Amino acid sequence: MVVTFNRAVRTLRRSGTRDAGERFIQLILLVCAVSSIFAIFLIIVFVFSQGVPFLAEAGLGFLTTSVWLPADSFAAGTWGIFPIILGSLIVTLGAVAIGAPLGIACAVFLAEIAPPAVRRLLVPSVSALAGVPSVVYGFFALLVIVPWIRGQFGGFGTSILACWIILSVMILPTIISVSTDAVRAVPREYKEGSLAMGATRWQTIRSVLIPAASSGIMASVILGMGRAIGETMAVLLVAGNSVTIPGSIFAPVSTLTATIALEMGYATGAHQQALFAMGVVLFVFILILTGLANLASRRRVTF
Amino acid sequence: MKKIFPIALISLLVAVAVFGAGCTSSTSGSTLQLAGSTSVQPDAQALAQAYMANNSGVTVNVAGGGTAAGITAVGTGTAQIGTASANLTASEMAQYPNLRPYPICVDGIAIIVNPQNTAVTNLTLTQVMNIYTGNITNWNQVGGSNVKINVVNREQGSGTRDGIQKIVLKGGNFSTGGITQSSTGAVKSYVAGDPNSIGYIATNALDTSVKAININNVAPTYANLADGTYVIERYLLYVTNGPPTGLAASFLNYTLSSAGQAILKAQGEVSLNDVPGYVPPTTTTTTTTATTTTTATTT
Amino acid sequence: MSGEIEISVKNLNLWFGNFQALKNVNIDIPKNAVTALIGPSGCGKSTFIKTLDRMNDLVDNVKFTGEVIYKGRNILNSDTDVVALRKEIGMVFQKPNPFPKSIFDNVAYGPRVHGIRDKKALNEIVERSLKGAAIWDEVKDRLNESALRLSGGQQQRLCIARLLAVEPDVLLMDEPASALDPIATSKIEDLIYELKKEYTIIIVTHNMQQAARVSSHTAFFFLGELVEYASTIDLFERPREKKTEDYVTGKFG
Ligand SMILES: Nc1ncnc2c1ncn2[C@@H]1O[C@H](COP(=O)(O)OP(=O)(O)OP(=O)(O)O)[C@@H](O)[C@H]1O
Ligand SMILES: [Mg+2]
Repeated sequence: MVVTFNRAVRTLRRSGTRDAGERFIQLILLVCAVSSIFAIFLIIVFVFSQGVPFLAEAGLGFLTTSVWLPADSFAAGTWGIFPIILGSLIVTLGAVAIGAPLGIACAVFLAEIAPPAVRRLLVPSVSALAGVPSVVYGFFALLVIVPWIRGQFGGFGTSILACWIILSVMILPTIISVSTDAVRAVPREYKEGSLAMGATRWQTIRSVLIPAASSGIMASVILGMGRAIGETMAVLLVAGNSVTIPGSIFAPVSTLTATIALEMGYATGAHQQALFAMGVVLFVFILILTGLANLASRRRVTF
Repeated sequence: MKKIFPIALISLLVAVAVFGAGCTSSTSGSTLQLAGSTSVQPDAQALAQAYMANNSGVTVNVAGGGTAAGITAVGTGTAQIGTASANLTASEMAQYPNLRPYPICVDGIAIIVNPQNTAVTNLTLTQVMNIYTGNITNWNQVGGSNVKINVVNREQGSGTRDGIQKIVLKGGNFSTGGITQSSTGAVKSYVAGDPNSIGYIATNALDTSVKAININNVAPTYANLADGTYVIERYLLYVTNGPPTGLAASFLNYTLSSAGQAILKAQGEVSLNDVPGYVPPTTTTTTTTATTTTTATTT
Repeated sequence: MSGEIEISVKNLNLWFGNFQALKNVNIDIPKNAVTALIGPSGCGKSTFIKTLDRMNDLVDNVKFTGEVIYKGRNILNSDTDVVALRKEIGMVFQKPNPFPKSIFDNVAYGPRVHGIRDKKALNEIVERSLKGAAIWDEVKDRLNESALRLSGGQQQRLCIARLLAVEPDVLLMDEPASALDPIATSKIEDLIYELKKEYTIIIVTHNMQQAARVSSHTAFFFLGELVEYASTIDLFERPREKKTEDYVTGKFG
């Protein structure tokens, strides 16, 4: 972002001899770039300014204790989001653990195995999957997956498992499309070299293609993880949203995003600040993930 | 990176558009803004429609957001009327000392179970309390079959949840064993799908997909709500910052008029006129001083 | 033509869609000798050698007729185990294509996919193969370095070593030196000279001198047809066909 900006400024300075129309367009682009950076910056500043003072006051207990009664009209607010952080992590990691192997398998299939006709059918379907609004996924899960879990395993049905199932499906398009590109970007020569030595197609995929595409695949998984941790609407519908440490994968959970969405409408005063503090926690999580994604995609292709 | 740019640009444009629109409409004198309880929202919307039909050129916006948000909105002047399904809290009163609550109708909260749960048709208020505090966890403890009770709650800040906490739990804490659904509709559809569940919704949202439980052998009927024999009920309120003036006063008057009360009744609420001992306020003055005495009791 | 025949090609026709890339090719490839394929660009040399290890199968709309007899069987039959075939008939590509792995792992790749797990056995195979490809002295101290750090010539010899590690009988080489400088090229040529004692080698080249230097037999392809096939000396010095003469004397191509 900063690099783009600098480049834009430099281009602007150099363009003295160019005609005015071009300079005007460049100016517009610069303004757009600056304002978008500014908007993001403002959001970050706002979230932190609301959340950090609360975090400072509530201290570590905010992150490590487990009673969450922010809007109780009969007791002073009790702030402990440990079960919520835990819920976010369990839900996200589980969804990725299910979705990543599936997505990578799909990507390999699309890039390497599928006949062209099948590919022409599947690639647009995957994109379509990415375009479905998350509330639709959530509603589907609420009406189909939740009752199924309730019938099979008892309990509420709204559960960690329901979140895993629906989130793993929701992150598939990201993982599939990025991984497919990564696998297709592996030089053809690697594949030919392997096959020409009498390796089977599967050995070639496993020992050459996937390792050679590993940085891209890694990036896709982390992008998917980012989507999973940030997903709100679908989770809100199927998580059950109880702030307790879940005893099994059939127990309800709450996540950072769903809790914020659930309570933001009512929250005032300290409650509102507590939700912003949760936003800060979420922000830090996502920052870590983005950092990992960048690292993974920059890593040299050696193994 | 590449993608963030157009998205940010679009959001900026949208933000500008929204702010712009917001500015023009709030400066116009013929607009009344209501915000607050989602329980009151459909009622207020029906009232607003009828009111706007009678007063051309007037716009009444009804926003949701929850009771607390409504109080904040009216306290900070974003809305002229806040709608509430719970009494003002001490801290809200401390923050906005000029707030005035005006009851507009009586709203019941029904305790609901799945229609397949034929064994349980009545619970005492204490049993409901024990279910929600986690002291009763199996249906066989209240005359049902031997299965775990799946307790469904509303989210923190919900006026309905607050009503249950006040009236049923007497201020006690909800057990954390249940699940939380984010709206009346979500509670209803969950209970409609789970034979072992129990939940609570406003009585006017009742339909055949769920079964309302009698409380202390009293069904949540209109008559029982009006005379107070069905105990899980509360007043729905309009809240103004200081005595209402102008459009806000006019809309409050309309709400309390027999026409307004008829609309509320059609919405499934209990008209104040059917509450024994209720004295309607005079509707001729613009600065209405409604009988705040009726807000005192919510059980 | 003397000596044993390794591969016997009969009436081979091959199409990419509607385009016929090989037209009724008949040729006997001698065992433990180097056979060179020459001809102008696009005449079907690569297509021909890729038929011998069925690498053309990777192309979507390819079809072929005729016979390629190897070890008494027609490998063009649909029931041929192409994986086993490619273990016996290995291929070196025009552009060196080591895997983005260490030097050791590149050479050990083949044995590993064919089931050898024993560390000691792998070490022996890697050393023997690298020696066989005349690159051992240059890399023996850096076996765990990425193969991509080697020079182009070293990479190509590594690819040959990688192939030797699966112990094939036939080596197909598609312009193995065309991306290399003269010194690296001469190293590859020396290597080919050594390898022919144990392997049957078919090499595609655009370099007439190279064909003359390394091969005992040469085949001249033109527009998908095998125009002339003879001992290398005969083909270069006493071509029977006018087209061959024009090509080897540099009148076209
Ligand atoms: N996958 C393919 N699909 C369609 N046509 C192909 C394909 N591969 C090769 N051809 C065509 O077959 C003919 C022979 O190609 P081939 O690669 O065998 O030539 P070549 O003799 O190896 O040429 P060069 O010396 O340039 O490598 C060419 O006309 C080429 O365009
Ligand atoms: Mg070629």
